[in-house]
Amino acid sequence: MGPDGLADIGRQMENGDIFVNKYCPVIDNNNPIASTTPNDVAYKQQPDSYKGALPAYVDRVIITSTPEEPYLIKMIQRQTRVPEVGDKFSSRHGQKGVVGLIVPQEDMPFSERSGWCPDLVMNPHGFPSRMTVGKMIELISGKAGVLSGAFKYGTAFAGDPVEETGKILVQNGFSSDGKDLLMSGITGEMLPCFVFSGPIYY
Amino acid sequence: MINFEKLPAGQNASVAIMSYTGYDIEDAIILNRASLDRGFARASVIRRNTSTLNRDQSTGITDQIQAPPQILPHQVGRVNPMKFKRF
Repeated sequence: MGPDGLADIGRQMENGDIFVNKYCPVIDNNNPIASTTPNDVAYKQQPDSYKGALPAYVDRVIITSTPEEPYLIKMIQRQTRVPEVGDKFSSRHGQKGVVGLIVPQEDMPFSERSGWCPDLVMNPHGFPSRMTVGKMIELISGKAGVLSGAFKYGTAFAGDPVEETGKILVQNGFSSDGKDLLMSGITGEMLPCFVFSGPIYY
Repeated sequence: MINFEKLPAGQNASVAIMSYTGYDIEDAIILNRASLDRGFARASVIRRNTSTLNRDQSTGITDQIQAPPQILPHQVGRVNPMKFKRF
Protein backbone atom coordinates (compact mmCIF):
# COMPACT_ATOMS: atom_id res chain seq x y z
CA MET A 1 0.00 0.00 0.00
CA GLY A 2 1.32 3.36 -0.96
CA PRO A 3 1.52 6.44 1.29
CA ASP A 4 -1.69 7.74 -0.32
CA GLY A 5 -3.69 4.98 1.38
CA LEU A 6 -4.41 3.20 -1.90
CA ALA A 7 -3.00 -0.11 -3.05
CA ASP A 8 -0.09 0.27 -5.45
CA ILE A 9 -0.49 -0.76 -9.07
CA GLY A 10 0.66 -4.32 -9.55
CA ARG A 11 0.14 -5.22 -5.90
CA GLN A 12 -1.13 -8.73 -5.27
CA MET A 13 -4.25 -8.78 -3.14
CA GLU A 14 -5.33 -11.79 -1.12
CA ASN A 15 -8.56 -12.28 0.75
CA GLY A 16 -8.95 -9.56 3.37
CA ASP A 17 -6.29 -7.24 2.00
CA ILE A 18 -7.14 -3.57 2.25
CA PHE A 19 -6.92 -1.62 -0.97
CA VAL A 20 -8.59 1.66 0.04
CA ASN A 21 -7.72 2.71 3.59
CA LYS A 22 -10.86 4.74 4.20
CA TYR A 23 -11.86 6.44 7.44
CA CYS A 24 -15.40 7.61 8.16
CA PRO A 25 -16.43 10.21 10.74
CA VAL A 26 -18.15 8.79 13.81
CA ILE A 27 -21.65 10.20 13.95
CA ASP A 28 -23.81 8.76 16.74
CA ASN A 29 -25.80 9.92 19.74
CA ASN A 30 -22.66 10.98 21.59
CA ASN A 31 -21.34 12.86 18.57
CA PRO A 32 -24.38 14.24 16.76
CA ILE A 33 -23.70 15.69 13.38
CA ALA A 34 -24.77 19.18 14.45
CA SER A 35 -22.17 19.45 17.21
CA THR A 36 -19.22 18.25 15.18
CA THR A 37 -16.89 20.50 13.30
CA PRO A 38 -14.22 19.39 10.88
CA ASN A 39 -11.58 19.92 13.55
CA ASP A 40 -12.80 17.73 16.41
CA VAL A 41 -14.55 14.85 14.66
CA ALA A 42 -13.51 11.30 15.47
CA TYR A 43 -12.82 8.86 12.63
CA LYS A 44 -13.05 5.13 12.51
CA GLN A 45 -11.45 2.84 9.94
CA GLN A 46 -13.82 1.61 7.28
CA PRO A 47 -11.53 0.16 4.63
CA ASP A 48 -12.46 -1.46 1.35
CA SER A 49 -10.89 -4.89 1.37
CA TYR A 50 -10.55 -7.56 -1.28
CA LYS A 51 -12.76 -10.63 -1.04
CA GLY A 52 -12.05 -13.72 -3.05
CA ALA A 53 -10.44 -17.12 -2.77
CA LEU A 54 -7.88 -16.47 -5.51
CA PRO A 55 -5.54 -13.49 -5.42
CA ALA A 56 -6.06 -10.56 -7.75
CA TYR A 57 -3.76 -7.78 -8.87
CA VAL A 58 -4.30 -4.05 -8.94
CA ASP A 59 -4.38 -3.18 -12.62
CA ARG A 60 -5.27 0.50 -12.61
CA VAL A 61 -6.34 3.10 -10.07
CA ILE A 62 -8.63 5.87 -11.28
CA ILE A 63 -9.35 8.88 -9.09
CA THR A 64 -12.16 10.93 -10.55
CA SER A 65 -15.35 12.78 -9.71
CA THR A 66 -18.85 13.12 -11.05
CA PRO A 67 -21.51 15.75 -10.41
CA GLU A 68 -23.08 13.36 -7.87
CA GLU A 69 -19.92 12.06 -6.23
CA PRO A 70 -17.22 14.63 -5.45
CA TYR A 71 -14.55 11.97 -4.99
CA LEU A 72 -14.55 8.57 -6.65
CA ILE A 73 -11.83 5.94 -6.50
CA LYS A 74 -12.09 3.19 -9.07
CA MET A 75 -9.81 0.24 -8.55
CA ILE A 76 -9.49 -2.04 -11.56
CA GLN A 77 -8.56 -5.52 -10.40
CA ARG A 78 -7.15 -8.22 -12.61
CA GLN A 79 -7.30 -11.94 -11.98
CA THR A 80 -6.25 -15.00 -13.95
CA ARG A 81 -8.54 -17.98 -13.68
CA VAL A 82 -7.76 -21.61 -14.31
CA PRO A 83 -10.56 -23.53 -16.04
CA GLU A 84 -12.60 -25.71 -13.73
CA VAL A 85 -15.57 -28.04 -14.03
CA GLY A 86 -18.60 -26.05 -15.12
CA ASP A 87 -16.75 -23.46 -17.20
CA LYS A 88 -18.03 -23.07 -20.72
CA PHE A 89 -15.86 -23.13 -23.81
CA SER A 90 -16.83 -22.56 -27.38
CA SER A 91 -15.27 -23.00 -30.75
CA ARG A 92 -15.89 -20.47 -33.49
CA HIS A 93 -18.73 -22.53 -34.86
CA GLY A 94 -20.98 -21.83 -31.90
CA GLN A 95 -20.35 -25.33 -30.59
CA LYS A 96 -20.25 -24.46 -26.92
CA GLY A 97 -19.69 -27.00 -24.22
CA VAL A 98 -19.42 -27.15 -20.47
CA VAL A 99 -16.40 -28.78 -18.87
CA GLY A 100 -17.71 -32.04 -17.49
CA LEU A 101 -14.47 -33.57 -16.32
CA ILE A 102 -10.79 -32.72 -16.07
CA VAL A 103 -8.69 -35.84 -16.36
CA PRO A 104 -4.95 -36.28 -15.92
CA GLN A 105 -3.00 -36.68 -19.11
CA GLU A 106 -2.21 -40.34 -18.38
CA ASP A 107 -5.92 -41.17 -18.60
CA MET A 108 -6.37 -39.34 -21.90
CA PRO A 109 -6.37 -41.38 -25.08
CA PHE A 110 -3.16 -41.09 -27.06
CA SER A 111 -1.73 -41.95 -30.40
CA GLU A 112 0.90 -44.63 -30.16
CA ARG A 113 2.28 -43.59 -33.51
CA SER A 114 2.91 -39.90 -32.93
CA GLY A 115 2.55 -39.54 -29.15
CA TRP A 116 -0.32 -37.14 -29.72
CA CYS A 117 -2.72 -36.56 -26.85
CA PRO A 118 -5.84 -34.37 -26.92
CA ASP A 119 -6.23 -31.18 -24.93
CA LEU A 120 -9.97 -31.55 -25.18
CA VAL A 121 -12.43 -34.34 -25.88
CA MET A 122 -15.73 -33.52 -27.50
CA ASN A 123 -18.69 -35.80 -28.02
CA PRO A 124 -19.59 -36.63 -31.65
CA HIS A 125 -23.33 -36.35 -30.90
CA GLY A 126 -23.06 -32.58 -31.20
CA PHE A 127 -22.44 -32.77 -34.94
CA PRO A 128 -25.42 -34.38 -36.73
CA SER A 129 -28.15 -32.07 -35.50
CA ARG A 130 -26.04 -28.87 -35.54
CA MET A 131 -24.58 -29.63 -38.96
CA THR A 132 -21.40 -27.68 -38.20
CA VAL A 133 -19.57 -29.01 -41.20
CA GLY A 134 -17.14 -26.13 -40.97
CA LYS A 135 -15.80 -27.44 -37.71
CA MET A 136 -14.96 -30.80 -39.24
CA ILE A 137 -13.34 -29.11 -42.23
CA GLU A 138 -11.42 -26.86 -39.83
CA LEU A 139 -10.16 -29.96 -38.06
CA ILE A 140 -8.98 -31.67 -41.24
CA SER A 141 -7.46 -28.58 -42.84
CA GLY A 142 -5.93 -27.53 -39.53
CA LYS A 143 -4.31 -30.90 -39.18
CA ALA A 144 -3.00 -30.72 -42.75
CA GLY A 145 -1.74 -27.21 -42.10
CA VAL A 146 0.09 -28.31 -38.97
CA LEU A 147 1.70 -31.23 -40.77
CA SER A 148 2.74 -29.28 -43.86
CA GLY A 149 3.64 -26.07 -42.08
CA ALA A 150 1.31 -23.93 -44.18
CA PHE A 151 -1.81 -21.88 -43.59
CA LYS A 152 -5.03 -23.49 -44.74
CA TYR A 153 -8.51 -22.11 -45.06
CA GLY A 154 -10.69 -24.36 -42.94
CA THR A 155 -14.08 -23.02 -43.87
CA ALA A 156 -17.15 -24.68 -45.30
CA PHE A 157 -17.37 -21.86 -47.84
CA ALA A 158 -14.89 -22.54 -50.63
CA GLY A 159 -11.80 -22.94 -48.52
CA ASP A 160 -9.19 -25.57 -49.16
CA PRO A 161 -10.96 -28.64 -50.55
CA VAL A 162 -11.08 -31.62 -48.22
CA GLU A 163 -9.74 -33.82 -51.03
CA GLU A 164 -6.52 -31.81 -51.19
CA THR A 165 -6.02 -31.51 -47.44
CA GLY A 166 -6.69 -35.23 -47.19
CA LYS A 167 -3.84 -35.85 -49.62
CA ILE A 168 -1.50 -33.84 -47.37
CA LEU A 169 -2.56 -35.99 -44.44
CA VAL A 170 -1.78 -39.16 -46.38
CA GLN A 171 1.61 -37.77 -47.42
CA ASN A 172 2.42 -37.31 -43.74
CA GLY A 173 1.28 -40.77 -42.79
CA PHE A 174 -2.16 -39.96 -41.47
CA SER A 175 -5.53 -41.16 -42.65
CA SER A 176 -7.08 -38.95 -45.32
CA ASP A 177 -10.35 -38.56 -43.41
CA GLY A 178 -8.63 -37.29 -40.27
CA LYS A 179 -9.37 -40.37 -38.23
CA ASP A 180 -6.54 -41.88 -36.24
CA LEU A 181 -6.03 -45.01 -34.24
CA LEU A 182 -5.85 -44.08 -30.57
CA MET A 183 -5.00 -46.10 -27.49
CA SER A 184 -7.09 -45.85 -24.38
CA GLY A 185 -5.26 -44.03 -21.62
CA ILE A 186 -7.15 -45.98 -18.97
CA THR A 187 -6.70 -49.56 -20.17
CA GLY A 188 -3.78 -49.07 -22.55
CA GLU A 189 -5.63 -51.06 -25.18
CA MET A 190 -6.45 -50.02 -28.69
CA LEU A 191 -9.74 -48.14 -29.00
CA PRO A 192 -12.14 -50.21 -31.12
CA CYS A 193 -12.70 -47.35 -33.56
CA PHE A 194 -10.76 -44.65 -35.35
CA VAL A 195 -11.05 -41.26 -33.68
CA PHE A 196 -11.55 -38.03 -35.62
CA SER A 197 -8.89 -35.82 -34.12
CA GLY A 198 -6.98 -32.66 -34.89
CA PRO A 199 -6.65 -28.99 -33.98
CA ILE A 200 -9.72 -26.80 -33.54
CA TYR A 201 -9.63 -23.17 -32.49
CA TYR A 202 -11.36 -22.73 -29.13
CA MET B 1 -14.55 -11.36 -45.22
CA ILE B 2 -14.52 -9.40 -41.96
CA ASN B 3 -10.93 -10.39 -41.09
CA PHE B 4 -12.24 -12.34 -38.13
CA GLU B 5 -9.51 -14.90 -38.68
CA LYS B 6 -6.94 -12.24 -37.83
CA LEU B 7 -8.46 -11.51 -34.43
CA PRO B 8 -6.83 -13.68 -31.80
CA ALA B 9 -9.35 -14.72 -29.19
CA GLY B 10 -8.48 -18.28 -28.36
CA GLN B 11 -6.08 -21.13 -28.73
CA ASN B 12 -5.72 -24.03 -31.08
CA ALA B 13 -6.85 -27.03 -29.08
CA SER B 14 -5.99 -30.58 -30.00
CA VAL B 15 -9.41 -32.14 -30.10
CA ALA B 16 -10.50 -35.75 -30.22
CA ILE B 17 -14.09 -36.19 -31.35
CA MET B 18 -15.07 -39.23 -29.32
CA SER B 19 -17.06 -40.44 -26.38
CA TYR B 20 -14.79 -40.96 -23.42
CA THR B 21 -15.82 -41.88 -19.86
CA GLY B 22 -19.31 -40.56 -20.62
CA TYR B 23 -18.54 -37.19 -19.02
CA ASP B 24 -18.74 -35.57 -22.45
CA ILE B 25 -22.36 -36.35 -23.24
CA GLU B 26 -24.86 -33.56 -23.87
CA ASP B 27 -22.32 -31.04 -25.20
CA ALA B 28 -19.98 -31.44 -22.25
CA ILE B 29 -16.25 -31.47 -22.90
CA ILE B 30 -13.35 -33.18 -21.14
CA LEU B 31 -10.16 -31.25 -20.53
CA ASN B 32 -6.64 -32.52 -20.12
CA ARG B 33 -5.21 -31.61 -16.72
CA ALA B 34 -1.67 -31.43 -18.09
CA SER B 35 -2.79 -29.01 -20.81
CA LEU B 36 -4.30 -26.75 -18.18
CA ASP B 37 -1.08 -26.89 -16.18
CA ARG B 38 0.76 -25.77 -19.32
CA GLY B 39 -1.45 -22.70 -19.49
CA PHE B 40 -4.18 -23.85 -21.83
CA ALA B 41 -7.52 -22.00 -21.77
CA ARG B 42 -6.50 -19.46 -19.15
CA ALA B 43 -8.97 -16.63 -18.64
CA SER B 44 -8.37 -13.10 -17.38
CA VAL B 45 -11.05 -11.42 -15.33
CA ILE B 46 -11.06 -7.64 -14.93
CA ARG B 47 -13.28 -6.24 -12.23
CA ARG B 48 -13.91 -2.71 -11.08
CA ASN B 49 -14.40 -1.65 -7.50
CA THR B 50 -15.75 1.83 -6.85
CA SER B 51 -15.12 3.58 -3.54
CA THR B 52 -16.78 6.86 -2.73
CA LEU B 53 -15.83 9.48 -0.17
CA ASN B 54 -19.03 10.90 1.26
CA ARG B 55 -19.31 14.51 2.29
CA ASP B 56 -21.79 15.87 4.80
CA GLN B 57 -23.43 18.89 3.25
CA SER B 58 -24.12 20.82 6.48
CA THR B 59 -20.75 20.51 8.20
CA GLY B 60 -18.46 19.76 5.28
CA ILE B 61 -17.01 16.72 7.04
CA THR B 62 -15.78 14.17 4.52
CA ASP B 63 -14.52 10.63 4.66
CA GLN B 64 -10.76 10.40 4.63
CA ILE B 65 -8.15 8.18 3.13
CA GLN B 66 -5.16 7.77 5.38
CA ALA B 67 -1.71 6.42 4.85
CA PRO B 68 -1.01 2.94 6.19
CA PRO B 69 0.97 2.70 9.43
CA GLN B 70 4.70 2.91 9.04
CA ILE B 71 6.36 -0.46 9.02
CA LEU B 72 9.38 -0.25 11.28
CA PRO B 73 12.59 -1.98 10.21
CA HIS B 74 12.16 -4.81 12.71
CA GLN B 75 8.63 -5.48 11.41
CA VAL B 76 9.61 -5.97 7.79
CA GLY B 77 8.59 -9.44 6.68
CA ARG B 78 6.49 -9.99 9.79
CA VAL B 79 3.74 -7.48 9.17
CA ASN B 80 1.57 -7.71 6.09
CA PRO B 81 1.31 -4.15 4.80
CA MET B 82 -2.04 -4.97 3.22
CA LYS B 83 -3.71 -6.26 6.38
CA PHE B 84 -3.61 -3.82 9.27
CA LYS B 85 -6.08 -2.64 11.81
CA ARG B 86 -6.60 0.93 12.87
CA PHE B 87 -3.67 2.46 14.62
